[in-house]
Parts: sequence; structure tokens; C-alpha cells
Amino acid sequence: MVATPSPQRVSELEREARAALAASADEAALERWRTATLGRSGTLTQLLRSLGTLDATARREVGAAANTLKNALEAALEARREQLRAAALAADVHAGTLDVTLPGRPRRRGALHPVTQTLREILAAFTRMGFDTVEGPEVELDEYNFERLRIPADHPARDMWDTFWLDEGEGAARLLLRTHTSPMQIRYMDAHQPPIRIAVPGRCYRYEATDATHEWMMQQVELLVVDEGVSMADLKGTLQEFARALFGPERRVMMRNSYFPFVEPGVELAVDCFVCDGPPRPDCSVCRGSGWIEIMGAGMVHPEMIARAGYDAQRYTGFAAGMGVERIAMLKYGVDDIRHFYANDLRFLRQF
Amino acid sequence: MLVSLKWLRDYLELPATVDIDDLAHRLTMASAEVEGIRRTGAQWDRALVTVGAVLTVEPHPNADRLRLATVNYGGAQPQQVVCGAPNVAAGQRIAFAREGATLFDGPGGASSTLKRAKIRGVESAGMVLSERELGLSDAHEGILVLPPDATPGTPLADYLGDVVLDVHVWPNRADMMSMLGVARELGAILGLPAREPPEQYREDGPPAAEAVAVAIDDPALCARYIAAVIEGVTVGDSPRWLQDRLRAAGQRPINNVVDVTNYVMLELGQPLHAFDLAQVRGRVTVRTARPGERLRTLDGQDRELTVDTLLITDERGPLALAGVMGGQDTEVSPHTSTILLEAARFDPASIRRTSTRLRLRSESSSRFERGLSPELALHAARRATRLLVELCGGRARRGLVDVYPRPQPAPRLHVTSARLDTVIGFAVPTPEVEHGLRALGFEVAARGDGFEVQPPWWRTDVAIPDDVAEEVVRIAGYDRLPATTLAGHIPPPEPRPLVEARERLREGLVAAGLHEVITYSLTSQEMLRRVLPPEQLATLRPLRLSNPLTADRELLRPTLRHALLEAMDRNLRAGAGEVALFEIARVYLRREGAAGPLPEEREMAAGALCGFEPDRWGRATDRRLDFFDAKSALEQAFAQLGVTPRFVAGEEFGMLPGRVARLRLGGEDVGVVGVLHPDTLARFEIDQPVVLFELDLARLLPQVPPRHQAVPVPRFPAVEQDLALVVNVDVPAGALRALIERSPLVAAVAVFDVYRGEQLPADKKSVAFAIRYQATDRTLTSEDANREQARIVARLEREFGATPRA
Repeated sequence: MVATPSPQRVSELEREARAALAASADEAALERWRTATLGRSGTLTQLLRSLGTLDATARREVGAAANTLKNALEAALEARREQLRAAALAADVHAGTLDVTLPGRPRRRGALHPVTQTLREILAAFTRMGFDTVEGPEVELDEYNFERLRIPADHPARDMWDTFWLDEGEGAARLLLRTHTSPMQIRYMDAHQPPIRIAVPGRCYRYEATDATHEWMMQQVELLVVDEGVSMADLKGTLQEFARALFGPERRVMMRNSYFPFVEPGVELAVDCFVCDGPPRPDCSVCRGSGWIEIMGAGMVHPEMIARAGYDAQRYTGFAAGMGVERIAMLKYGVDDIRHFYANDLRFLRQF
Repeated sequence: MLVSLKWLRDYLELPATVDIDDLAHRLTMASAEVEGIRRTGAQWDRALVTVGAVLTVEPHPNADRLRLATVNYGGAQPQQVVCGAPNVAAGQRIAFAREGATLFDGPGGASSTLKRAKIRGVESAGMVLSERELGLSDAHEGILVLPPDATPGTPLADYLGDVVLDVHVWPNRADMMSMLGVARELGAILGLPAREPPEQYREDGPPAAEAVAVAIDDPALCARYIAAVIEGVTVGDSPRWLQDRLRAAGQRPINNVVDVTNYVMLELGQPLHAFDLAQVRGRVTVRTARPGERLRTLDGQDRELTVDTLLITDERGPLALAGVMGGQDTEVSPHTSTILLEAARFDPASIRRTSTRLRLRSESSSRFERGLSPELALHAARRATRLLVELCGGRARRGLVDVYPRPQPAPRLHVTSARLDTVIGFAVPTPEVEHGLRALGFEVAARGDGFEVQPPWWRTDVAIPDDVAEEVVRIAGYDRLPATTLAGHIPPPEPRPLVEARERLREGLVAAGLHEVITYSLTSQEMLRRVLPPEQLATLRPLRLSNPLTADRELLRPTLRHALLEAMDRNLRAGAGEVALFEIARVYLRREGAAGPLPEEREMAAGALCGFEPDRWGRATDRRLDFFDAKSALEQAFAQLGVTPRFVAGEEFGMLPGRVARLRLGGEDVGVVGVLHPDTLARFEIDQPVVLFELDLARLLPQVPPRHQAVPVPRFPAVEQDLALVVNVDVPAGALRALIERSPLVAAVAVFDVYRGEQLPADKKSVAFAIRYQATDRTLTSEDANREQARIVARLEREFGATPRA
């Protein structure tokens, strides 16, 4: 039995439908509501269908109201559906709240050894200044490690390099573990013509007891520049650039007198303390209050070596320098004992 | 070189209030590093610790071992103190402390404050001090007795205090191995003239040449030999001041004659030797040893001499090892009255050889081996003779015996301004060049385009113009150098593909989760035996050090394996749950035949993995890292290099059979990966499985393509199909896969399952592949893929007896 359509009936139907929609709390209920209200045999559809029983005036009036209601209810359905979706999402989101303080998933992670990392930084700094990287033998002849570096047998300067000797060869042909990367100065000059600008990394060995600052095995980087007009001021400038690349753009370098038989003049090079970074602090553990940290020996390539390489020693000059990579790494990372590096304890290596 | 500031003041008018730290700094900057500064007396309170004079000593009324001393310490009233020292006596000058003074318990010991006290009923207002309470030494048996010239009331810090610099002198600076040399340097740095010590003495009696004759066999080994003869000496103790100075320089006083020779060595840098002339027979000859000659040296050792040993001899034989050590027979004894004083210039290399061989490196040899000036011998001979006359009561015979066959002319150098400017990098003004050099004792004259320079005779290290450049810049100050950029053009870098590939491999292994280690290049036979078969070790004959530091580091390693396992062991012991390590380093191998004097240094990579995979929380699961973890790390690294070595089942010493793959690339064996044999691991005390790999970079890296070749991203869709095959268990999946990959339509193929079990016969397994079919020129249909897969299956059946699994 269908009630006679009338404006009252439309209003009544609207009230009932809206109440039912508000009570529908999930997609299934919404679908049931839609069928019962807007479906083929839904209450509103039936009302529209029964408009024919009215006279034309009433039909126009009730029909317009019913059609308006139909549109309104369809919109209300969409709104209700959206409201329910938002509520459901909100509920999901709440239920899935992460404890962001839990650890990330572990992933096996490797790292370069800190000495390798430091070596790469050093070489990168010199590469930027046009230095090529060259490597050489660790087992050397006395000739290259000493003789041709102007350190003849029975010269007191040999005391500066305590040496591991091999059971092979005699005199200048005797084999040894190179005590420095300087033999590559000779090997490179023998095979090349100026201009020369090289950095030579590699392992070196010293016959000496190990303590917090000395290892019998170490890595060095040697620098060699030979060209026309190369001066001590260039040495200072180049190494200042290097110090800035590694230790910060404000760094300055200082030279003091030193001696190596294969350079003249010879200097020791220091960089101002990057820990104090200003007036030296008396309790600084890095510079010990001096404000300066010695990082390498250097000097102008001895003219005899330039001449021996077959270059014109009047025309060409050069500089050479050598530094210990472990020492630089100790400074950079605040490592207090050189022995950490080759103990290869992951608790140490994982820090880098 | 220990430099006493008090002594230094003999030669240099240093201001009384000189700033020691500044002085040391400036010396370090310009000349030689000051490695330490030792201050004595700085800890003594100037007002409370003074020189005292003991006026009277009386027995203590209540104690047998204590005495009462009255001391004039410079105050208005003498003070009475209780003293327990056995050696206290009236008339002595002593170190006296008054109430409130700080006392010490030996060098570096705890300090305490002296309080007024009653000792056995007698008031004691101060203390007569021993060396221990002054912090000078641990000696406390008796009080410190000062020389009688000490004035009561003088602060002890002024009387006894000193500053001793420990100066590290470079091997080229013979001249600075002396007080005068250091004074000259400091003088040049500070702008103060250095005073030379007096050398004049009164000659007495007949010529020295009538008492001794000298001959030099080979002037190359002994350029100059000077002998002085001093008669009538009385051998005894040196005066206190001389002993103090020797001690300040780290030497032990012996007797006045020997002390004078040591004193002059420290003062001027010339080692001297005093012979008892009565024990010398005939002419003194400087020559090398003859076969079979022996000498009993001062240390009592009877030494057999090698023929290159330079000797001082007389007609009977060796008297002394020249420049190294004297002989016992001619040693100065309490009965000696006539001295032959030797001042010579010996060949540095010869002295160094002898002193090194005999392990007799000394103050003397360290000076000779630096190369002394022949001029120095003359000054030292005169100076020492003067002191022997003055301090030993001797009479110097007239003249010196001076054998100097080939006098060396002083070198003159022409140093151009252009050279100075080029080497230094800025133009030091001419007046400054001249002034600086003159301050150092050089003669300088401006000449043409530069300077005519004559180094002072004591500077044997200055030989070329660049040596002069160093003198100029170190006195001018290195801080004046500008910091300039290299001006020349940059030489083109040489391509180094192998080094670049090696570095990429390093990065690849790190990206695969391995930690890089750096291990020692030296090892032991015992360690190598753990990882190499005996016959291989015998063939390799690892290179051996002749002077290893320790027995476990005496061989140059021909492999990296043991080092990785040592590192593994260390980390497992430290409780690491999962350890994955690698190293890229050289091994050292003898070269076959005449391939040059140097051994081969072959670059290798080695890695080791062990432990349990962590779970989501980082806690160990029960899955151990295995062969396939290592393989995956290698594959990842190889992908980075752009190479794909094949993994071929193989064998390797020390690894478990059936769990080893050899790596093949371009027909070469480039490495191995496998599970280590438990016996191998047991030798390293590792009790869990370890997978190890080793790559021969000399074979691998040359095959790395210089650059990656990019391939276009496919434009047409792919068809994915799975294929499960049943094959005999010994058919490797890789072989099946390789066959499938040969199809031009197969873009990718991956194994996704391997099954053995009850659904299959015992000798069969099933391998499942996911295959992606794709063409570069069209869209494939599933019919295309089916047709191709059927062809592939037919081929697999033919070659491997494989059947598709239903």
C-alpha cells in the first residue's frame, strides 16, 4: 500500500531517509539504504512512479520536490560514504601508529679502512692540484732507497732510517724493505722528463719498536715536483693548500729547518692546530700547547739529484715532501694510539 | 747534545733574564730541534733555600747519631739545626732550607713543606739538605757539600740552578756537536757575537817533535794528525766546576787528563785522545790493521781487528782504535806524567764502519762520522793543551807535531742572486743576505750578479750555492716565505687502468658489506704452514729478513690468507657475531730467472666471512654466513667492475672438498672461493665455519673493461615464464642456465628453486628457472615464448637429459 504522494509525504520520506542514512555505518548498510530508498523499488522511486495519480498541478509541485530530494539524497549518500571512508582511514592510521624509536632493519655494512680513507683524501687534495699518482716497489735496492738519495753507506744520515734488510744482494744491490717512498723520486725521474708533479703512496717499513706513535709498518705519501722556477714558496703554498683541504680552509703552515740528504734546503712542515683553531690552548692534546702540528718533512730537491736524472740543474728546480698517512689519520680522527690501525678490530674499524 | 745554559754563557753574552722557551723555539726554527728543556733549581724557593756555611758542629745532647749544626745562611743570626748526616763538618758550604721551604723526595718525587720541629728535645729551625731533598737525585746518605767559593745567602737556584737543552743535531752539522757551535748558531739568530775560548798557553821545554814522530799511511783515512806533548802532569780529580760541566752534558768525570779531553770535545766538538807517552815506543803511525793484529781496548776487551780498521800504532803494534777507543796499554794512569795529546781528522766513513761493527758508538764516533774540519784539530789541540797545563800542572813542550799532508783550501762559492731568489721564492734584500751570512761566520762579498761566499772553516756541510740559500732563508726566517701556487703547466696524467680498477674493486667489496682491513706484510714460516701446502711453501721460498724485529715477522708474505684468518680469529674472540673482512695488498714472490733484481710484488685481494646473519633486531639468527654470502659479495663487486667470472667447482688446499669454486675469466684462473677445512681453522683456533676468497688481481684487473658500455632500455614488453627441470643431481644449475641464456629471445634467467626429496628419485633434482623472454624489435606473444621455451627444453634434454617437471 503506497501512500498518496503529497508534499507532506516527500518531507516525511526525507526525514526517514536521512535518519536511516545517518544510522548506516558501513558500506553494506549504505548499499542497503540505497536499495531501500533510491533503488528500483525504493521508497523514493515508488513515490516518483506514483506521481501519475495526481493532477497536473499537484504532480508538478510534488514531482519537483521529489526530484530535488532525489538529488539531495544521492549527494548525502556520497557525503556519508566519504565520511565513513575518512573515519575508517583515521581508525587504520591510529591502529598502525609506528614506534619511530625502534631500530632500523640491520643491513651488513662495510667500510674502507680509516688509513685508506685518509690516503684517498690526501691523494684527492693533490690530484686537484695536478699531481699524478704513481706507485712503486716496497722491496727496494740499497741503491734507490739510500745511495742515489745521497745517503751512502757509512753515512750518519743512515741512522735516520732504521732498516729491515733482506738476505739478498750485496752493497748497493742489497735488498731491503723501503724505509720511505723517496726511492720513487729516482725511479720516476729516471723515466720521465720535467715537468713532473707526482704523489707516491705506499707501504714503508722501519726497523723500530712499536709504541703509541710508531709502527714498524706504515703508509707514506711522497710528493715530487720538478719544473722550471719551482721554489720553497711553491712548496709552502702547495702544502698549505693540502693542509686546507684536509684540516679546514683557514689553516696555515709553518716551516722550520730540517735535514734530509736528498733535499737542500730541508724543512719540517707544521700546520696550525685545527683543534685549538685560534690561540693555542695549553692543555691541547694534539698540539700540546704549541699551536702547531708537524705533519711532514720536505725540501728542495738536491741539485745533484736533478743533474743525476739528466736534467739541467740550473734550469730545473723542484721540491719533495713525505708524510705518514697514519699520523694524518690519527690527527683527523683523534686516534690516540697508532697500534689501533693494524689491530683490525671491528669495534675500531666500524667507527669509520 | 746536552747544552747547559750556564756553560753556554762562557761564549755568549745572553741577557740574565733570557726567555728559555723563546730561545729554544728560535733554535728549533733555524738550526736544530730542541727536544727537551731540563731546568734544575727552578723548584727551589729563592728566599728560603740558600747557600749556607756550617759554623760549628756539636753532639746532640740526647742522641748519639744526631748532631747540632750552626749555619750561617746569610741572615742576621746563624741558625741551629739538628742534622743526622754523617758527613756534616764545620767550614763546609752546604744547601740550607729554612722553615716554609718546599722539599722533595728525589727527582719528580712528592713535595712537602719544611716545618719547625723539636727533634729529641732540641729545636731545629731548618735543614741541611741532601741531593734527594733538593730533587736532584735519590742520594740521601749524606748532605750535599758545595765548593768553598759558594757565598752564604746566595739563592741556591742561582748557585746550582741551570737549564739544560737537549738539542737534536742533524747528521750534517758536525760543528753543532759542541757548546761553541751552539753558541755560534744562537749568536747568529739573536744577533750576539760568540766568544771563542782562549787557546794560548806558555810553551816550556824542548820541541814536541823531539819527543814524538808521527806518520800517516793514507791521508784519505787520516787527513791531519796533531800531537802535543805535555810533561809533568799530576793525574787526579778535576776541579768541581769541570766535573759539574761534564755531568751537565751527560758525562762521567774520570780524571783530570781524560776530563780535559772530554771537556774540549764537548766545548769545540773535536774528540781528543791522551796517551801515556811513556808507554809509546818509537814513531806513531796512523794506518789500517794488519791481518791477525789484536788490541786490548780501554773497556778491557781483547779485540781481533779486521784489516780495514784504522789504528794508531807504534813500532810494537796497535795503540788505539782511531777515533773510537783507546788501548789499555797506553791509558792515562795515576802514574802517568807525560801525555801525548792527539787531535786528528779521521775519515768519517771509516770511523763509522769500525764503531758500528764493534758496537762502540760513542760521543767521539758520533762527531768523527759527521765529518770534522781539519782546522778544528788545531784549535782543539791548543785549547786542550792550555787546560792540561792549567789544571794538571803540566808543562807543554814547544810547538805541535802537525802532520797535514794535503791541506784543504777553504771552498769559495759564487752564489747568484737569481739562484737564491729561485730556490727561496722571494728576494731576500742584499744587505740582509750579507748580514745573515756574516753573522754565521761566512765571508761575503757582493760580486757581479751575486755574491762571493766563503763558509767559515767549521761549516763542513756548506758546499754548493743551494747550501748558502738555506743559510740565508733560515736566518731570514721561513715565516717570511710567501705561499705561492705552482706556476708551470700540469703534466698530463698517465692512464692507470689497473689502479683504478683495483680501487673500484675495493669500493665494490665495501658496498657488498665487507670491512677493509690492513694487515702486516711480514709473517713467519709457522703461520704460512697453516695455509700453504708444504711443497708449495718449499717452492715459494719466501723472502727472508736478515734482521727481523721478532721471530713472528721474519718472512715477506707470499699470501694474504693467514692474515685474514688471524684478523677473523681476533674479532671472533672479541665477540663479533658476524665478521666479513677483506684486504687488498701485495704478496712478495721470487722471480723466476733473470727478470731483474727485485721480487715480484703481486696485488691480491682476500676476504673471509664468518658468523650468523642478524635478524630484524640485529640479533644472531641460526643462519650462518656461507659460501653463497661470499659468492654474492664477489658478484656484487664484479658487477661494479663490469666482469663476470664463472664459478667452477674446484679444489683448493685448506678448503673443504665439494665446497670450493675456482673463478675463471677469459681463460684464466683469477681466484678461488670456498669453505675452509676445519683442520685449517683449528690451526687458527677458530671453531666455526669460515668462507674465504682470494683474487689474483694481476690476472683479474687487466680484463676489466676500461669503461661500461651502456645498453638501451628495452622498448617492447617481456613475457615471463617459469621452467622447472628434472636433472641428475650432479648437473650444475649454472650449466643449465648458460644453455638457456644462449637463446636470443631470453633477456634474463634466474634460478628460483632447487628441490631434492621424496617426490623425485634419489639421484635427481629439480631446478626451477624464471625466464624473461623479450625481443628488441617487436612485442612477443605468449605463443612466441612457448615456442622458444619448447626449443630450449629440447636442447636441455639433449645435452643434460633434463626433463620438464610436471
